[in-house]
Amino acid sequence: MVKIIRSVVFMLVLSAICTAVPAWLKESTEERVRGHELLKTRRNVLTAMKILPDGATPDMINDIFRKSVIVQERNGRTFWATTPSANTELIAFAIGGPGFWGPIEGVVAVNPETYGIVGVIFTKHSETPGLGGRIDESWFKDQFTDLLLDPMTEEPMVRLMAPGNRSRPTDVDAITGATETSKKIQHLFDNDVRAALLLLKDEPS
Amino acid sequence: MNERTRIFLDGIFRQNAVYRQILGICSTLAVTNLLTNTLVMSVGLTFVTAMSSFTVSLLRKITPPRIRMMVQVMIIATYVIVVDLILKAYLPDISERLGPYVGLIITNCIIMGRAEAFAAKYPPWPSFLDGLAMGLGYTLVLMSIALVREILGFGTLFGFLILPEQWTRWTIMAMAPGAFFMLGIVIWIMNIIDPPEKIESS
Repeated sequence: MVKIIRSVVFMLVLSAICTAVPAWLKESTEERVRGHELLKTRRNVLTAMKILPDGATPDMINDIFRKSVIVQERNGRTFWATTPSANTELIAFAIGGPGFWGPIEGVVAVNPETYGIVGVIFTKHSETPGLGGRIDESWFKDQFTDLLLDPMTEEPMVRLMAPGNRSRPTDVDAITGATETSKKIQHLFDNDVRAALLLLKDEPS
Repeated sequence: MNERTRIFLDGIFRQNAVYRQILGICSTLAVTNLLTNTLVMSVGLTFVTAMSSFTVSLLRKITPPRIRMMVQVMIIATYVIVVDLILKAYLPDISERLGPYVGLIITNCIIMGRAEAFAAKYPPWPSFLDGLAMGLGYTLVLMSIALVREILGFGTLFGFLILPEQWTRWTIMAMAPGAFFMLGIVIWIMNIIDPPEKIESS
């Protein structure tokens, strides 16, 4: 009996210590972690909108974001729009959908009048490095710039075609050797990007 | 050679956790395609192994034997969460790139193995040294594998481009099979340089 009580007391004391230390550390770093997440979101939005200068410091990012961007909620979805004082009217939104190995997340910025894409970035994915992982490369993302999207079309909004086989203005080159990732990106545009554009169409600011 | 030096060198070379004991293979395959990620993972694992061995050893005389493994897991988990929280707060980009693998240090066989095989029986300082050496041995192997994988797979070294743009990347080196090949080569080379002691059959 004494042995059992000793074991229980020992475990209780150890559990208290092992819980208190991480809890204290989490509490003391929480604000810093929140700051990183906010900065990351702001950086992603400004990058997609292409209004972030190269080598911008965290202070610059926060400053530009506060001056140029306002947050809007439409039907439970967050949109980031440029302020009326900004030079160009842009609107950005987070996108997400399944990838080949795991979810793909990103941010798309468009012109709210024409639905022309201003910029696309992929912020999180688990695609194969060197193959599907090349969605991060500039040549791939830059292909989407200036494409005019039509959320009402019954066709795929954007088609990822084998290099050399593009036939429509909204076709882009797929990544050679990454057929599945290319299909997932096309899907992402057809589902999540289309849903966001339809929300913009239904509820213009 | 004194006892502590022997423990330290054995941990790094003769009893190396990866190429001699074939432990910690999951993270060896998963994080070694980039040197920066590998370095952070290795530092994290070395810290956790050394500190948990030290703590397990410190408590060994008052730990009830029947719950010792629960105690070891709790100590290891605490240090892993500390590493995870520090990475999230101070190295957020690397924390994101390493994803779940930092949390999975808890399940790394090296740490639990050393806690049970060494720290539960020996005093704190040798246990700390043993944990540190095991972590350094793990670091040595992982960094060697990552060095080759990053150069051949991406043409970069710590993210800096060192091979010409025309270099055809060895995609397989960026993927898990590349790590399997490299690990096999490391084990082969180390078995030639420092053959394992033969176990005498009765």
